[in-house]
This record gives sequence, structure tokens and C-alpha cells, in this order.
Amino acid sequence: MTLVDTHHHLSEADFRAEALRWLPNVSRYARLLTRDPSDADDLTQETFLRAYNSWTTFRPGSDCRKWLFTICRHVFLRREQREARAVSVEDPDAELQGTAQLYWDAAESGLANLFDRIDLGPAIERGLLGLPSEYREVVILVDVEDCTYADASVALGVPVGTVRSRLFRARRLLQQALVDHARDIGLVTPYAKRDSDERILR
Amino acid sequence: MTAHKVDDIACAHVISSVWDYLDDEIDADRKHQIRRHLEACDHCRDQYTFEGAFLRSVSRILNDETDYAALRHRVETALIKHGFSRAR
Repeated sequence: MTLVDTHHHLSEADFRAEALRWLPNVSRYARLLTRDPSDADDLTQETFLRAYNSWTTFRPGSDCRKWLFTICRHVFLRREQREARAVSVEDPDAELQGTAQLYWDAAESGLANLFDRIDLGPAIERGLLGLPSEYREVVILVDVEDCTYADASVALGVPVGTVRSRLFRARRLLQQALVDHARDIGLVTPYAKRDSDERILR
Repeated sequence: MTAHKVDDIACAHVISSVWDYLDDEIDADRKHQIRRHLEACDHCRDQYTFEGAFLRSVSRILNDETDYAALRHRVETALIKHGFSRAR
């Protein structure tokens, strides 16, 4: 018996139109969660099977992509047999100083335009895959999938404030990895000394 | 920093809000204040440009052009085994 036989308001055609169209998004999310293409395909398949089996619980008109991300994450966590770990909230002052410091370091190294380069793809992927999963998943939801903080909060099952702190920390870690990469491959230009007073945020 | 305060908002507050601003996660008044500050403060604007380029770079790189046909076929095959109908 198929879903269409028992639940007229949510048909297989709806599943095809509403759920399967998000397969590329779920696949990207799965790839970044698992860090392995083969595992990602398995996770994507399992996500859609569970979504199909739970399709009658999906509320028509709600955000199907977000619903799929939530399922995907739950399957992943269950597979990993681990619990979502509490990540300490960053010290806002330290985070602010770190964000500013990273920019100044990059600017002083002639890397202010680093992110306009088009050849950073592999380095970004490597940097992202190197992040702890709590940070990685919030970047993919907000920065790649364009989720709001509130939507990411629902998908991850954490407060909005936690989404924000994880996201900011993740971005800084990723930026640091990219700046380090740029230095490693010799993109740094001669040090341009600045007045140290300029580096203090007021 | 050349502009410590513009429109009653300090550089430190702008930098601490730059991600929220770029993500459009702040209210309209705050957004307006930050926009005015960025127009007047070279240092904050440079950092804002840097962070914005970073976000565009991440979004562009990870929104790849992978062909998902094979994966979609695999998923649909698995769904059919669970009662899903073939596409007409």
C-alpha cells in the first residue's frame, strides 16, 4: 500500500514535488556532516526513506527543506551513536577581539582581498571539513542553505543564541584556516606596518 | 580607528554586529545605524567588505554544480522498494 492510498492530502506526487526537489541540498548537508561521499549518499538515501515513511506527519505549507535537514541530522547522530554535545558559548568580548584581530592580521599580510580569489574552493572545503561537526553543520545551514538563525535553531534543536555563537566561531575558524592556507602557498605580501593603536577596537 | 563613533554607534559595536548585519538578523533601526556608520568609517567598511567577501566565497564554493541524477535514481529506487510509485 502506498501513501497515496491512505492519505489523500499528501500524495506521492506531493512527496516528489516537495521533498525530492531538495535532494541536492540534503546531499550537500549529508556530505558535510559525514565528510565522506559514500557515507553521505547512504545518509541521503536513509533521510528520504524516513521522510517518505513519515510523510503523513509533514505539515503542508511548512518548510520541507528544514524538515528534511532535521531528519538527516537525527539519522546522522543516531548512526554516530553520539549525543549532541553542549558547546560552550564563546566569550563575546574575546570573540569580538578575535574577529577584529583576524581581519587586521589578514590585511597586514596583504590578504584583505583573499576571499575574492576564485581558486579557494578546495581550501574552503578542507577547512570546513576540518571543523568540529557542531560548527560545520551551522555553516552549511546558514551560509550555504541560507537558513535564518531561527530556522537553523529548529533544525539543530538548539537555541538561537547557540546558533549565533557557533556560527561566528565557525566562521572565524574557517577564515583562520584560509588565511593560514594563503600564507602556506605564498600569497602573503610584505608586511605593512600599522600603528598598533589602530588595532584596538573602541 | 578614525571614526570611533558615528551616528551614536561605536566601531566596536559595529564589528560585533557585522555578522548579524550581513545575515540580515538585526532590526531595521540597528541596520540603519550600522549602514550609516559603514558609509562614514573606512576601517569598519574594510572589515565589512572582507567578511562579506568571505560569506559569498563560502556560499559560491559549496553551492556546487554536482550532477545529482545518479543519487536521485538511487534514492528513488530505494523508495520504490518501500512502496513509492515510479515516476510517470
